[in-house]
Amino acid sequence: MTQAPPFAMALMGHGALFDDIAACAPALAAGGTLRLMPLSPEGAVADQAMALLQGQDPEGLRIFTAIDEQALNHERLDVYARLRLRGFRALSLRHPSATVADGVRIGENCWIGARAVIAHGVQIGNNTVIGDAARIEAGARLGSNAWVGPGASIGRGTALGPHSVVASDVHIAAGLQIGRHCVIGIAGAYTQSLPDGSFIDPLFPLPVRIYGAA
Amino acid sequence: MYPGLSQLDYIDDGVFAQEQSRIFRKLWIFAGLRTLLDKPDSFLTRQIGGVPVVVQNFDGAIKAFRNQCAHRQAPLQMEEYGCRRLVCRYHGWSYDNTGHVHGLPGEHRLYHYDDARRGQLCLDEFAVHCIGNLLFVNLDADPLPIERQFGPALRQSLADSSGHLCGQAIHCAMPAAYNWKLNFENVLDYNHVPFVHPQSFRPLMEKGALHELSVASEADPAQEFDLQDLSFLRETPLKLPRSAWHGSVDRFGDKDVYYNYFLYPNTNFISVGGYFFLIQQFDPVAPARTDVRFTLATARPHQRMAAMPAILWEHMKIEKRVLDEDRVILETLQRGLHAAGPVARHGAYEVQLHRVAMAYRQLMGRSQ
Repeated sequence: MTQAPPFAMALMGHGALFDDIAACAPALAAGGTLRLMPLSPEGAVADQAMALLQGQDPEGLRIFTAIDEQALNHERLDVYARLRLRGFRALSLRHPSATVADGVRIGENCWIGARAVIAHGVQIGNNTVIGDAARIEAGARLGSNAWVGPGASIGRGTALGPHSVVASDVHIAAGLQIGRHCVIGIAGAYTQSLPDGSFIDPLFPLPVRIYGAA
Repeated sequence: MYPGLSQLDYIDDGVFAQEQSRIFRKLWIFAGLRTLLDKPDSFLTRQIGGVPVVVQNFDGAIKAFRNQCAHRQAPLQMEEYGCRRLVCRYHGWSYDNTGHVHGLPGEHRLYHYDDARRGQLCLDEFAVHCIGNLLFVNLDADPLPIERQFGPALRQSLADSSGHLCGQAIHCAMPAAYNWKLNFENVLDYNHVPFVHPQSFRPLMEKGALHELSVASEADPAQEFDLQDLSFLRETPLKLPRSAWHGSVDRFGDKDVYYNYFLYPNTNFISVGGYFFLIQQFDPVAPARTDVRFTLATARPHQRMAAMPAILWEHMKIEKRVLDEDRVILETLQRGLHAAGPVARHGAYEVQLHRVAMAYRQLMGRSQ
């Protein structure tokens, strides 16, 4: 019999990721309960989150923030960062059907989806989402605040930069460097590295780039 | 009623070739942002009037050259923006800030140019002018003074507004299946906004700013024009939704206004409330093909904004959706054009389109 953890757990957020995780909440709670704290996508989401946590003891509650990849994962980061500043600890969650090799390093507020496979030597930064049936091959490094969509794969030894988004069914070859703030939004196989601020998106017929420094 | 251009002017290969030489290789053409050429050896590449051009920072001096090696015409720089010495990738010839060959690998073993021929190995240089952070290039051997193309008040306003640009920008080029003139006419025509952009752009406009506006009936506009009159600033009041990041940037001005600069022949520089800036440029590729180039940046931030890439990307997607609404109309319009078709019949509010048509005829060497 699984022993309940010595802290309460909450799932906070909105959108498809929140709904998907909420649907399997009982299986994730490891004998305890996973409280659902839905947020509205309208208005200041981080402010809503802080209002919901008013009066809560940070020591007794671990929270997973589940918000989709919009704004290059900044919306999820805003909530997660605000609750960390308030002293709350973040959870990482993995679906029971996911396979994670021994020795894999996974940061906090990460989600590993159903049937995802994470091979040995993989490093995943904080606040990164791995979708259902995604495959992260040996030695790949995923930065913080990243998103790997369902069915996507990251090749052996490939590095995915922070705040990057890899859409569903995108397959990135081995040994590549995908920079910070990149979007690969069209399903298919990719065999070339991308510099920071590269966007491949169905809305645009050619890649979009960010140049210069703020 | 003012007549527009003939349909042939939008579809004919011969007209297109004339435009390239009489307009795009004669006038000052927007080339890119000075803010993206800040570092030594930073560069941008463009096609202007069919000519490949590289604009490069040589220790602070901005120079423009034909982007073809004097040896075998290979491109010297290949990316749209980058940072790299001016060296040909094909055989390693390097160039100095005057366009002369600086280094020629294997010169004495392989080439054996005499001194006279060696001295002729240089790139064609073009005139460059900065207005604020906007870089213009003129390909003509005897370039028109830029003051004749853009008046003093406009230049000052452009310098002031573009001086607020952030050093980071998002950029894309989008092929469109219509003539470049259709897009410049489209941005001049504010009356299309409520019909083509009722959900995207129209809601940002203050009531009365657009289709409720009326214009006085006037006699035919003067049959003579000054080139300066084709480029101007129009300000339209905005209902600007506030974003959290607005407080973090050094806004241009203090008005909730859509600053819309029309820069003849093919550039539209916009600032939305002074918070962010969009440059739309309509690059002619063929009579019925235009590369629409968008460059978007915010005003300078007071401090580092971690979310800047996300802000730029989200705004770029919004602008692209607005362009797509225009594109549907303009591409269909283009497909229907034919040599014997009627000319446009401009009404009183379209006086700027009429001026542009007059200017076009004059630049093309035709009688009015």
